Amino acid sequence: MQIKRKRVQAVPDRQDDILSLKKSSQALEIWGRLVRNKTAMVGLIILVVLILTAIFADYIAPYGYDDQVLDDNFIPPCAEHIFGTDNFGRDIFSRVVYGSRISLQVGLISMGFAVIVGCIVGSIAGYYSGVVDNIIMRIVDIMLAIPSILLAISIAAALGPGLRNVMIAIGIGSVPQFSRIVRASILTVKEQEYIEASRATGASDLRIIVSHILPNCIAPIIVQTTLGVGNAILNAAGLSFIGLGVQPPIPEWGAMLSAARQYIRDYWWMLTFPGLAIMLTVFALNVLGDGLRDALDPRLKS
Amino acid sequence: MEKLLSIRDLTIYYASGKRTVKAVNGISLEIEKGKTLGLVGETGAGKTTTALGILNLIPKPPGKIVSGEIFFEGEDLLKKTKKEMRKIRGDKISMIFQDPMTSLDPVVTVGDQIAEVIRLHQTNSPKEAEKKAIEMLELVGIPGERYNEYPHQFSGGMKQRVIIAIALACNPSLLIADEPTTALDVTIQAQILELMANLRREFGSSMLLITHDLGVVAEVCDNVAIMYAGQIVEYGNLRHIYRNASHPYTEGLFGSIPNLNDEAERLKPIRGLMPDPSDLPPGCSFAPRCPYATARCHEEDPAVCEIEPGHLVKCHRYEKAEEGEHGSATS
Repeated sequence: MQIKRKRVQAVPDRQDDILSLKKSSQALEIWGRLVRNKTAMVGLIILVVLILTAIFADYIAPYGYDDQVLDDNFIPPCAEHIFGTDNFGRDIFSRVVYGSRISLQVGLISMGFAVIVGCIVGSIAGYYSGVVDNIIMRIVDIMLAIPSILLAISIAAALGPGLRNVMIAIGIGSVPQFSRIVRASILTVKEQEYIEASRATGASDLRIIVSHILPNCIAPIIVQTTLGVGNAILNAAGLSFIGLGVQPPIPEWGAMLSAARQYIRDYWWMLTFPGLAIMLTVFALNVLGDGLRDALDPRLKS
Repeated sequence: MEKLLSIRDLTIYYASGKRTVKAVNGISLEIEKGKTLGLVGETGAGKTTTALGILNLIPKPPGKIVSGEIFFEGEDLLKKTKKEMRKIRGDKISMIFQDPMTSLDPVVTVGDQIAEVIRLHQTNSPKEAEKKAIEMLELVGIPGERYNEYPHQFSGGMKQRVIIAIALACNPSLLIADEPTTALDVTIQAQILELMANLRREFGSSMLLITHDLGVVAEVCDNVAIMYAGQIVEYGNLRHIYRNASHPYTEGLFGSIPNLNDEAERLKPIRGLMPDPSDLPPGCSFAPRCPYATARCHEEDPAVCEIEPGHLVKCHRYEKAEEGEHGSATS
């Protein structure tokens, strides 16, 4: 702080200087706090590697995802096939690499959809309470009463199979949980005195929600999102399994898991590697989410 | 003097279940341009409800403005639309809240919180708003370099300075201060009061100061309204109230303050508690605690009488005085 101050006074237009410090310093501070959190950085690195894998799958995968060599089926991990091969003699490593494209897309896009819709619905219900709240939350309750996979199945069945419809189905299926969580946190934050204070400065409802309430309940939303991505990948797997999701031979981690299910006793590698891939993604997102939550909260600054 | 704010017969109820909490019962008060009115009363007397009523920020439901008029610069605030009220809040009327610890958003930098009000009302470019925010920070005695810091990095007194900066950022004509110094320690209280007085002089704002501290009132205010159970029981200028406290409740309040010159062993507190606002007594609401109460006080609500020019008291003892029976009134 001392150093900053001296530098500021040396420059003729102090105000401009303070303001130019402003934007960069806030982002830098958050980044700095994130970098100091080692586990979060591990998560970030894993996630970046996964995303790069998805982008450059064509160059990384040694074989095509649907190259069948029926003579080479069930080969355990070896130098040629580092993750082994499956019942059709397809290279599992290549399939996991290509599968990252589908699975990351499904996980991130469907959760993104669920977060946005859940935030809007939950904010309206929580902020306005009363009749609006009752109507919205009863609808949400009805949706929650249906198991989310069943909901996704019915939506997917109505829309027909395919990657895009899977994302829509899973996204809609996750909206109720998000609405609940957002509503609950908004209910606690909106009673705070600083919300009343900002109302007394003439801020509109939209402004109060977007710039004061939501930033104060970001923590549970981030945690739920990171957990939700893992769930979304698994739900997509479930949909693929019953033929409503991504169609074979397109590789998808969950679909690979379900296909490998019947070989689990004799050929462990068929199940283990896609499973590890899912686990790694969810783990990376979780620790990154935790780190982000801490980094975004200025009160936790050390 | 020109009236800036004039409240007539304002009544605010809260519906809680089957009971109706009568928070504010027909109060009338006036604030002149550039003057300060102190609104004094115990906890639960309806002071904050009155303030929120002026800003039309009573939570509805359960709150409800039953009757009354609030004239601000000649216009009735209760007839304004939501949008018009938003334009007035923070711009022409702004409010300082009681607890500086909780009335700043913890995840927004103090500078941005000041800039937000300026941008809301003066529709400047973000850049200009931010520059003005720095000026405001420095005006309240905080170095502009602290623009990027968060509320938790400030002490209570500093936070209250930030809140004052937010309240005065748009140069309001009326400042409502709801117990601005209650949460601060005594050394800081004086500083904050002085800061507010200086800035108010500079900006020419009027102020409604809500407090239960008669010492603060004596320092800052021009006029005083004493509030009890949602009613104004005595109203006058500083000299009226401090030299010639006439309502038994006001006497009781002064009796509860330790006096350096008196050798009294104990203070004289007012006996009893405030009546339940959902079940007010039929007569004078202070009657159950009043040392002078007569049978008439328990049955009949007293009218307001002017015992000297500008000095209003709501008590049966002075109604008699008006009728010419001076003896009992001055006893």
